[in-house]
Amino acid sequence: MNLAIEHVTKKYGNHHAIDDISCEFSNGVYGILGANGSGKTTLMRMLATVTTPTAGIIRVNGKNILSLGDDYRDMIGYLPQHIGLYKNFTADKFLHYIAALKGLSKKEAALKIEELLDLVNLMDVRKKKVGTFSGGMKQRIGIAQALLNDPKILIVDEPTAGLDPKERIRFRNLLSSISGERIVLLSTHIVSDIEFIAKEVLILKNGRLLHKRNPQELLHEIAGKVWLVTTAESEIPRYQDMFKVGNIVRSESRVELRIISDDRPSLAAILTTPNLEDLYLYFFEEDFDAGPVKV
Amino acid sequence: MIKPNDQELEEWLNEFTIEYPSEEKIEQTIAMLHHYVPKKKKVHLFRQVYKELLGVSRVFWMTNLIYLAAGIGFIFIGGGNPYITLFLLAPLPVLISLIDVFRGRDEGMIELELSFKHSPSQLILSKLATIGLFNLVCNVLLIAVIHIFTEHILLSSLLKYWVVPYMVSISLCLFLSIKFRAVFAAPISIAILFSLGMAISQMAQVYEAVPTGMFLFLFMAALFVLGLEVKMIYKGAYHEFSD
Amino acid sequence: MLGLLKFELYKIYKQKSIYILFALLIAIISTGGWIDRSSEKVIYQGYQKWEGKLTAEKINKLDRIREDGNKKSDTGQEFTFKEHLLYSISMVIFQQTNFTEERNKEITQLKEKIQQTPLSYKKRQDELKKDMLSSIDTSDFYYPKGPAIMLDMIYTFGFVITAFMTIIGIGPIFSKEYSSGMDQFLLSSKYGRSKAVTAKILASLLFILSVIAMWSLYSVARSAYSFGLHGWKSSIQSVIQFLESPYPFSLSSAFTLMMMIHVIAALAFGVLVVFISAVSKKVIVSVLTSGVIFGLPLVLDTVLDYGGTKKVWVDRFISFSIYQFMKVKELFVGFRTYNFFGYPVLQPILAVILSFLTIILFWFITQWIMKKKQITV
Repeated sequence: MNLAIEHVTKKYGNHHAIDDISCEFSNGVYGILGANGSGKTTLMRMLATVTTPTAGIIRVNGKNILSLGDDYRDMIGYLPQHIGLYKNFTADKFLHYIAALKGLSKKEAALKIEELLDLVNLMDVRKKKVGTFSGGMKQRIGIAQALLNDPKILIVDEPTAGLDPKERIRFRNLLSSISGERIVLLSTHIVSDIEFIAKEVLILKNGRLLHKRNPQELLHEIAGKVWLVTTAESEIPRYQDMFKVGNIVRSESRVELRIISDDRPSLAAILTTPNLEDLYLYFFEEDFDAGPVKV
Repeated sequence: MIKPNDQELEEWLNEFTIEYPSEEKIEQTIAMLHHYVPKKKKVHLFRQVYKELLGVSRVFWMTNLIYLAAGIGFIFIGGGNPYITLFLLAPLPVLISLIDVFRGRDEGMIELELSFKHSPSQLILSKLATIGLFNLVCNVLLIAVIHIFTEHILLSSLLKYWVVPYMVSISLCLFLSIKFRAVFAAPISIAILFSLGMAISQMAQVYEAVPTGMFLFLFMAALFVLGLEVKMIYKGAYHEFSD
Repeated sequence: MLGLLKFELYKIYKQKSIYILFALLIAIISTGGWIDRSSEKVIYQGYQKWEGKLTAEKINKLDRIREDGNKKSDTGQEFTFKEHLLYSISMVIFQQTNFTEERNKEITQLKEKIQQTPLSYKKRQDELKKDMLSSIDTSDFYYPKGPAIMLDMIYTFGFVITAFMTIIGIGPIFSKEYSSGMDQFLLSSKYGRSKAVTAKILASLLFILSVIAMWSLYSVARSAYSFGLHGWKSSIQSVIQFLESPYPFSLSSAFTLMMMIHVIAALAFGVLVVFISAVSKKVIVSVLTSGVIFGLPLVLDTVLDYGGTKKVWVDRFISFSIYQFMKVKELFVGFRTYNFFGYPVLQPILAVILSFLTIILFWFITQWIMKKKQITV
């Protein structure tokens, strides 16, 4: 399975939501990292064919997905960012409906739904109306519907929003376990979602693709730029003014700041191993800080 | 597919404990933050409604304008019957505007609106009052124009062809809006109004023969129902509605 | 496909609004519908004596009854129930024989005109009218109250019920998917852009058929109960609204034909509403737009048709509206043809052709639009 994005651009009026992106995917999990408005959702929507590129082509195994049409849609599973459900449908009925849309036979659908309801832990509420579901439950039924047709390409847009930590870990492991024989594209702005399962991480910013590399390589890029500084509480604003400050850990009377900087921020600073969160901060620091940042 | 071991997960998650802050600390935080809470500006309810109607509800002004234009056009250019015109067209601006009045609730904003200074009930009622009054002015204007330039309008006919259908259709629509989604209440009421209007225009003699007292009774009944509906809205009966 | 169709039907019939509207409409048509069956029976028995071929003998007798009645009403004398019944029967027959004479006069006039004019659209039109008028047979007399009421139902309330139920029931079929966010699933699934669209259209058409079946069964049952199921052999001209109709139909064939045209026009309207829904982002937009398409001619027709002085352009606009096609009545009231390459096409035939074209065209466009559809933010 090979999915290729070739010079794809998407314009809304004059605004470039996606600006000339090219990349390729093979089986495995890909994490798409970006702040709000970076074009993640637009890219995912184009991959799910619910919207079409203004320019450029997306190909699967060399064929244009738009000319493949229904055949391409048969290969994909799509979980949109904001899912709408029929409030009056039961979980069971909803999944049967999606199964019918995906062209599963009644028998196949019944078996698959049984399996998936168990997987997303909704077995005991299968006869309840989805209108009564909590956010996390809705998300889980969304995940189940995406997997109904055993998709060769799974496109999930911020799938962990609304899930509690336990569900989140479960979902992460689930994706990792099924990614062997398919392409999984996962967009998120929560770094820990993809930290350990992504084969490659794509970093999107203002509609452009900044990086597409394996996490270790990316981390290597900022090696030697992440520091730990232990200082007094009152010093925090000064550091925030001068550097990109990540985690702040408080202990008794002191605080430990995680700082991303090319130079040693203070004499007492200790180098530490970077993680993906630092990487995110490195690229998207404007969106992280509440206060003004002077660099 | 491999499923994660729940027990392992639970154990793992149990390692993370978050201590609950003490009562004192919470109080302290609240006291601190209190300084930053912006002072409420006093906005008069009707002023807010006026603003909202001006800004948000273009539909309302448009429908009234179209109503006046259509009414005058039908009667003066088309040579139409003024009474049937009033019957069919007069309630339309109010019926269509009801969709807007209940939009907040229909879009699931009620919880948010309940936290506002003016309760949604107050807002809905004052919007209804504004819409009703303005539409009334439009109607009186149209009737005056008809009365002066074409035929003399009879008060009893006005009751039959304007007041009663107007009141009945609006009270029906308001009732349906309280119970159901206004997006459907309005079209349903319009459908009923049109069906009745068509039937009556085809059986004008029968309709004319109905005694005025009957219409007075209908008018009073509709007024009573409207009163009940206002009370229902005031009490928030519309919060729960059927989708 | 069948599975998808079932789901679409389920979604349509799950809407509470259609039941509220239907109940209210049925309540409206049921008010004032109380009939004294025993007196209706007596009236029918009065008519029954005169049913069958209208012989010269019967006509003579009725003429005398009418003259006596005229005298009586001139002098202000009271009628007994029986006398009144006989008098009204004689009036009906009088009216009908008068019209038969007028028709015969018109046929001779048309014959002369046809001989004088060279071959043209006008000539073909006259020939068509002459042939139609000659085929009208009003020599049989039956009491047509039951069928007349059923016919009446189509163009007074029936077509309005069909239209409004379509607008409320079908209007949201696509627009609700957009506003609820379900379109993302629809547009990204294998059959969401193809078979599901077909399923939606088919479900809409089935829904419309069920609505028509419901009100027509109700109407047939009600008039059968009140007036009985007789009089179907009577000519369409025996119903007062169709007195001048040039169509040579019995009431049974007229009813069947008018119902069929209503169904076809209603299906055309249904496909149109589905199309409007497919291009409307909000439910209210699709409902109001379809409402205006049906309601505007209705309002114009109702408001402006007062004293029969309708403006020409209004008349033309209305006569090509889906409202008029669904109402059916006006298609059969008078003789109206349209020039099609020199050949006259009767209005009902044109209405059916246009309805079919609407179905095909908007079905195709809707499928095409959904193939290309992109979601908007």
